[in-house]
Parts: sequence; C-alpha cells; structure tokens
Amino acid sequence: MSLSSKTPSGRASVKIPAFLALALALLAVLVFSLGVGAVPLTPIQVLAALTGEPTKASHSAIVWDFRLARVLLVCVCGGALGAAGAGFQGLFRNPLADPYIVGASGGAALGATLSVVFAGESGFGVPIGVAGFVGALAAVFIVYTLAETSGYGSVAALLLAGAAFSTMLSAIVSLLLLINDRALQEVFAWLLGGFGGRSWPQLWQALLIAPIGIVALWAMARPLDALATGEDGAQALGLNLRWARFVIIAGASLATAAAVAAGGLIGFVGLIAPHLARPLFGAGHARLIPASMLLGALLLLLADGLARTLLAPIELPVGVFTALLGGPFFLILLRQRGRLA
Amino acid sequence: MSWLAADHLTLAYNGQPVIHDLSLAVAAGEVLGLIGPNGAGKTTVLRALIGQRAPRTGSLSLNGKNLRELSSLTRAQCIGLVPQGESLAWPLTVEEIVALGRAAHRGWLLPLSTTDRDVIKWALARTHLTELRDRPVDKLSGGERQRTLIARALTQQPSVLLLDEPTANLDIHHQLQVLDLVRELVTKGQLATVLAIHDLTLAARYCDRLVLLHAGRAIACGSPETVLTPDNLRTVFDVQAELYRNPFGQWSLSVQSV
Repeated sequence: MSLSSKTPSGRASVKIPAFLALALALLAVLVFSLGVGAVPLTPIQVLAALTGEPTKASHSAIVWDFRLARVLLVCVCGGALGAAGAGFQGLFRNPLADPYIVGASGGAALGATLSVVFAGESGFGVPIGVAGFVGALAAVFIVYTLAETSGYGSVAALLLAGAAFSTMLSAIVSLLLLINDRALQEVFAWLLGGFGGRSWPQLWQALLIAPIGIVALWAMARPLDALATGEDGAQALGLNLRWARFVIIAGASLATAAAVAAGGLIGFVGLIAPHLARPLFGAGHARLIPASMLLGALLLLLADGLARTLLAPIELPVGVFTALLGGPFFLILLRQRGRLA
Repeated sequence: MSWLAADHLTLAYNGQPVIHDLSLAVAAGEVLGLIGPNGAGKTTVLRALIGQRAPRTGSLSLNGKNLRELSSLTRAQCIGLVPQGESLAWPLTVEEIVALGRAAHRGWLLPLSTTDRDVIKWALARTHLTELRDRPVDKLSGGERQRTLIARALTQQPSVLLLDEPTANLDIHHQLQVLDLVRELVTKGQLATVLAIHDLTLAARYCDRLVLLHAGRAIACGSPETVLTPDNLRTVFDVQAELYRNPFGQWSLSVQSV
C-alpha cells in the first residue's frame, strides 16, 4: 500500500519535467523570435516591452503591433499541424502520414486558386485564406464520404481516395493557373506558405478553430492507442470504428485547415513533429498529441525566424524552409533509427 | 449452463464457405480447445465468436442473447480476445496496452477512474507484469508480449475468454507458463474459454473438451481421449498417433508418420 501510494497517478507524471522543458524552450524561442527583424531587439528589451515597461516607446509598438500576433500565429499553426500529423499517423498506422493525407492540400489549393481567379474577373471575392480553408475541409469531406460508402469501409479506402482526389484537384489547379497566368504568382506564393503581413485578425481566426481540432484529437488519445493494434483489434476492444474515424479526421482536418487559412500549405512540420516526439515522450497518444503540438510550434517558429532573417529584408516563404530543413532531417532520422517508429 | 454457444454456424470468407454447420457451447470455468491442421478455420471461428464476422447461417449467443445484436462495447464487456501475432504500429508501453481493455467499461473519452486503475494494477499483478509496466512493447520477449495481451483481456473483466494460438512462437517453458496462467485464471474467474491451439499434447493437457476441425467441419467433439483417437488423427493429420498417460499422469502423444 505504501508503495502504491507513492506514485498514485503513476508514470504519466514521469514526463512532466520533459513537458516543462519543452514549454520553456518554446517560450525562449518565442521571445528570441520577437526580437528578430528590421529593428533587432534583445530578449531583455522584448521582455520589457511585453511587460509594459519598454526601454524605448517604439519597442512597445514593434513588439505588440508588428511582431507578437504573427509569432503567436506561427505557434498556433505549427501546433495545429504537429497535432494533426500525430492524429493522422495514428489513424493510418503509418509514419508517413501528414496533415494533408486525405486531400486537404489539393482542396486548399483549388479553393485558393478559384478565389484569386474569380476575384480577378469579378472584382469581388473571398480572402484567399478563407477560400483555402473551405477548400481543404470540402475536399476532406468528399474523400471521407467516398471512402466510407465504398464498401471497403476502412482506412485503406481513405488513403486511396485521398491520394486520387488530391491528384485530381492538383491537376485542376494546374489547368486553371495555365489559363489565368495573372493568378499564377499570387496563388503560387500562397501555396508555398508564409506569414508575411499576418496580424491579430488572422490570429483570432486561427485561435477560434485550431484548438477545437487539437482538443478533439487529444480526447481521442485512447482510441488512437487502440487503433495501433489494427482495426480488427480496436474493434474487439469495443471501439466503434466509424465514429473514431469521423472524430479523428474531423479534428485533424479542422486543425490543418486553420493552419492552411493562416499560412498556406506548410509541409513537413506535421510529418516530423510526431517523429521527434515519440522518442522523447513515448508513443502513447495522451502524451504524443500535446508533445507533437509543442514540437510543431517550436519547429515552425524556428523556420519562420530563418525565413525572415536569411535574406532580410526579403522574406522567404516559410514552407520552403520547412521542406529544405525537414527533408534532410527526416532522412537522417530514417538512417539513424533504421525504421520510422 | 453455457455462456457462449454457436448453433449450426456456417461461415464464409471472401464469399467462400470455410466453416460448415459448426455447433459448440462453452460453460463458465471450462476450456474448449479448437484443434485442427493449419487452414482448418480455427481463427475464422474465433473471429466469428467475438461477433466481428457475420455468420452466413446459424446463430451465436452470449448468455442467451444474440451476440450479433449487441453493440461492440457490450461485446467487449463480455468477451476478451487474446489475438495471435498482434502487431502494434507504435511501441506503446505494457501499461498503455493493458489499459485499453478498460474502454469496454469506461468508454473511450473519460479519463480512467480509480477503479479502472485498480483493475489494471490487478491484471498486471496477475500476469506478473507489474515490474515491466513502463516497458515499450518492442522491448518485450514473446512470453511477456503474450502475457500483456492476456492482461489486457483481463481488464475487460469478461465472462468469456478467447485465445488464438497463445503458445505460437514461444519456447516450451513459456508455452507451459502461459497455459498454466490461463488455466488458473479460468478456474478462479469462472471464465468460459475457447482456445485455438495447434499443439495436440498441450491441447489434451489444458482443455476440458476439444473440437477437431477438418476442412471446415467439426469431425469430433468431446473429451481429449474421445477426440484424439488414432482413427481421427490419421484422418485429419495423416499420422499414426496414440494418446497415453505419461509417468506424471499427464496426457502425451506419440506420433509417427504413416
């Protein structure tokens, strides 16, 4: 009895220092990131501006009006992509699954393209981010409906439908852009992903939607653990597969679409964050989802910092950086671990 | 009183009938062994008995109720499955895997209660896994893995236990250890148990009754000595064999090819 009361809630608490360390690292990078830009600020100056006692009056404006919303938005998007990646990898039992695996990227690209093309022609349109958001969710919904009614009724059908539908949508996007070459540059820049010019309105929008998806995924931690045993295994444990697939896809896609709306199509963050999280926090999803979220935020914050500074004052698309850094990193991980788990 | 019963069951797989007119019943505290050559349909029968595969004809009942009409959660409260060769996509820990059995009672969304934690602790202790609870499953031996799956089934607190080849890929020491554990759990917990097993000697020793499957049909059913007759073994396995009591008073089988 004395032994068991020593560790009442058990081993989950073992990871609390690791979570604290990660959260602190994220905060440190955040403060550092706020100092980066045309007017460089030291971390102390940033903290002073944040606490309302700036060393110079202009620092307050730089931090609060120009940088804070964007940097927080980057965190929210990175976190959403990290959690969504962990959710999709769990659902598909596939370490290569990413947030766009069920058609979100193709749908977002088509939505964005349509908004630019039609805005150009009619002078009236929806913002490109909103169009991307709607496109991503619509594509996922169509893929999900096709797969669930296909008779397969399994994640295999989802994978196939997602791949086929996404390719088809990309072809339509290419066609539309060929016909409307004016739209090409704007759409292409958006597709590469980036947070230039984003501020408080985009942050509030993202904060309205992304947490719903992330919390839904976190709530599905035990179903995701059960799915690790395969669909038959999970069903034998009493899991209603249809319900689980729906909630996981809805949660992950909401989080993904929120990130897409704010920053375009940012690759690799959602793929890599769970792979970094598993060796550090274990494979159980109750810890993997929040860990992937924090690591996703950290990764995207670093990539965004690089994108802003490397060729300053020119800002590079952050999606290019996540791919440039993420690709080799992923290959190293692959080599070291011998397998993707 | 039988807990789990199959009545004139015909099962098909990909449209092909694989089990014909099978009837069986298991009572509380009893171990029923499904034996037969590879491909005879042992796993198919187990999958049907947990209600995952709809029978083409015939019926399945659990304590008098139609098994197919129960929700998957209700079935999981009554039937614990120890599957064969379950491969995990990610290296979850022993405790995380064992905890999954509690969803049958707690549901999937609520955090586990103190009762759930106590049941998990009990199941880990019963299967001698308490020390290994934090170990990832890819760092376990075959026997430890098997015990983890048994512990998970125990946390479902089922009245029926189904085991698919629990001794496959285990060395002889761990085969006996796992089956001793099963036998003990069945007797103490009054579990109605169906065990698919290909080792005939172990089947004779650990099962109260056997069903001998051959090409999708049960060709014999009853106590080990009435099922494992030289005639039956010759028909099904094409071997000359005899069941006898060894000096320890246990069943043994001497086998030679025909």
